[in-house]
Amino acid sequence: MSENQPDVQESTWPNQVHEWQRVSTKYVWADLALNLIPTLIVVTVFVLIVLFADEKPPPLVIAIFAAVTLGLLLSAAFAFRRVRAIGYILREDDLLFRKGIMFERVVAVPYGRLQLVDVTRGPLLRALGLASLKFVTASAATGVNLPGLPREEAELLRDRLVELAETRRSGL
Amino acid sequence: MTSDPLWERLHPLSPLLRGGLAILVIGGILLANFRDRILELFVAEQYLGAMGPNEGDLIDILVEQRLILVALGVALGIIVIIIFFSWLSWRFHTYRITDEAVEARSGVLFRQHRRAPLERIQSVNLQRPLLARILGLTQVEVQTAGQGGKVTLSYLGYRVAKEVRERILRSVARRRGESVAHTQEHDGTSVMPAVPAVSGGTPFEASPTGLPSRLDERAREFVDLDIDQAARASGSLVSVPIGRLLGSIALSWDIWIPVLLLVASTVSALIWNPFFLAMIIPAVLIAVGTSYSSFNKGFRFTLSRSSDGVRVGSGLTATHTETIPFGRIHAIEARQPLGWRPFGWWRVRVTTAGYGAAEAGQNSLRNVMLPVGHIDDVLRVIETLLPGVGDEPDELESLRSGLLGAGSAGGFLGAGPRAAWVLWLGKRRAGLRLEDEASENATLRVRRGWLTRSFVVMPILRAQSIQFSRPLVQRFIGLATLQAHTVLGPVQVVMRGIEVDQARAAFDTISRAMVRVQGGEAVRIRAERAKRAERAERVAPVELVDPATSVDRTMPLVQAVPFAEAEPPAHIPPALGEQT
Repeated sequence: MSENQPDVQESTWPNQVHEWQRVSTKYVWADLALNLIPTLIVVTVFVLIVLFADEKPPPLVIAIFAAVTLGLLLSAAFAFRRVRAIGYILREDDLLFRKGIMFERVVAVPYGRLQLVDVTRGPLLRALGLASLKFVTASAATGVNLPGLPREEAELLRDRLVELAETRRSGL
Repeated sequence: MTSDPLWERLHPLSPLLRGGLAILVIGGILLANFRDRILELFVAEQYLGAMGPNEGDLIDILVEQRLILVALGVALGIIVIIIFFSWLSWRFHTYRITDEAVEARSGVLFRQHRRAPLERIQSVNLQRPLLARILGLTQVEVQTAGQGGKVTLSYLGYRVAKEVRERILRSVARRRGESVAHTQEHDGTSVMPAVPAVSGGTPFEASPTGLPSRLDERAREFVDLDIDQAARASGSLVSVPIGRLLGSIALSWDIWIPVLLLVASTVSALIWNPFFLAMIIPAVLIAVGTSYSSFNKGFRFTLSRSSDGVRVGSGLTATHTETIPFGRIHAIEARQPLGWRPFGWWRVRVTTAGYGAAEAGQNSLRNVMLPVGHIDDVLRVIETLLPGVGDEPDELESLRSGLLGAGSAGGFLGAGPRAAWVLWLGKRRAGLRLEDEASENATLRVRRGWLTRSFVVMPILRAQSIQFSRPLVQRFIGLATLQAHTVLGPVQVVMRGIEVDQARAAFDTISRAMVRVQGGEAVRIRAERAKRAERAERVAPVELVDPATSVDRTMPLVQAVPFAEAEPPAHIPPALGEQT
């Protein structure tokens, strides 16, 4: 896969002038936790089955458990890259957002299209001092979601976005 | 006295129609209980004697126990209570159209107050179910951008409903700063309220049916197509002949797929097991259901540009007329199933704001702007729906090449070199183009499809966002997908399998165009607001005016509908349980 050596074009497009703003590196821990906790549960269940079952589980079951565990671990291993892939740029008139390594997505949203900004903090993010910011337009497909921004930054960004949207308000 | 217009009431017959179901249920219960009595009247004694007396008959029990008078009294009481409450709810159901919004209040105990701000109104619909149509009633539906956010006025008299629609649309147009004088000029319906019936363009004095004038009027209303007079005069009318409609239904996938299922299940039943015959029933039901609704939607279909928007009407038993003010169309798609290709037929669908998830689907008929038509009809429909697109001969030519062309013909950006892996046989036709890039009327056009051809036009002005994406498969073969996001609707503005660098360049171009076109609109809206605020201040300097929500009070109010007593029911505090 070409993911490990991003080519020059990939790192410069589409930001000719600006730098991608990244989410906090601390968010990696939240991402890791979300992958490792299910792994732990799967492994525990498997161990319990092996310990308490009367006979050895059939090979198919072992294979399924192994595959699920391997998949989750692989996904956890990509946590750093996945979090690093999330980025945004406040351009003059629109917000540029990107995420994903396997399913790369780059979205441009004019500020005037902003309907509302959500800032949410779950228990996991709160423990890390982070917050998630969601940018909502009239289209459900836009899906601009910035998880794991430092709390102050998320609130500043929200205020900035609302202000930008207010000056560029256009009809639906 | 404020300058707000008065609250008006619905048609006095509306509780009857809305309570129609309850009456049917009660009638059904009565009929079930009286069944044996009625039989007894007509059928000879011996048959009944053979069957034996019906022990559970309610009437017999009542007669035996000498309770018949009590029962009659109770029944009468219930009827009186129902009538009283329907009357009460009718008294409390009022609406008004102000310079800012369309409002409706209803409910006696639980007051409901619905408000549709003019700038959020997406369309105004007139619906006439068969029973209402016979009684000369019409339901007015004001659709707003929110999900399920609509104000429904059921029911109004047909003529009043048309006037109400006219007033709403004119207020919307004025709100958007369009000229009102132009609107009134073409308006044959409400400028002359003395005309008793809005006949479908035929001269009124001729009364070929020879019926008394009331009935005659009702008959005219019953068959009225509800077409704008000006549109009829100028001939800018798109309609569908009945033969073509039937042919299109017979050749569409809606029929083919159930027919194929039918053949498959019959063959299976003959070869293996008669049990497979059971599959026929759902297949037939689906085929009959979808083709009947297509027929009903397409029957007497007309689309015209009226002075205040695009008007679409159709219907066999229940009729439906939808008027969409200009600038509310988010995307248009023309589709051509395989069976229609030899005849050159197309169907046109649109995305407008305010559809629920169910109405936004591919199979919904709510969003059809042309059930079936030739390419010239399609061009006329696109031109009508999107002012500024397809007015000039060269623009028409470019639309035509978008519909019929393939690959990079006509300035389109074709699919990438290995796109057959993701598009299969659709690779040849696939293309994307940003038309009129420099102007305000810029549109994004996508053509795709292989069995069913499709051509999409989306005004850049209405786009919500643009997305560049590379799923794993496309990433391996150096391709990417571009998608423009619109509000929820049936039209998908997406092109897959573009060469990566070209996709990136197109993404940059489209995002720049979006910002420029939409920024231009934002500036216009701000200027409009400032002008309105300034005007309002000049007229009423004492009044506190919030520039964002200020109303132009210098405009003369539209004449009030002649309703007998229209004072608001003042004895209910409006704040009680208010919902907006």
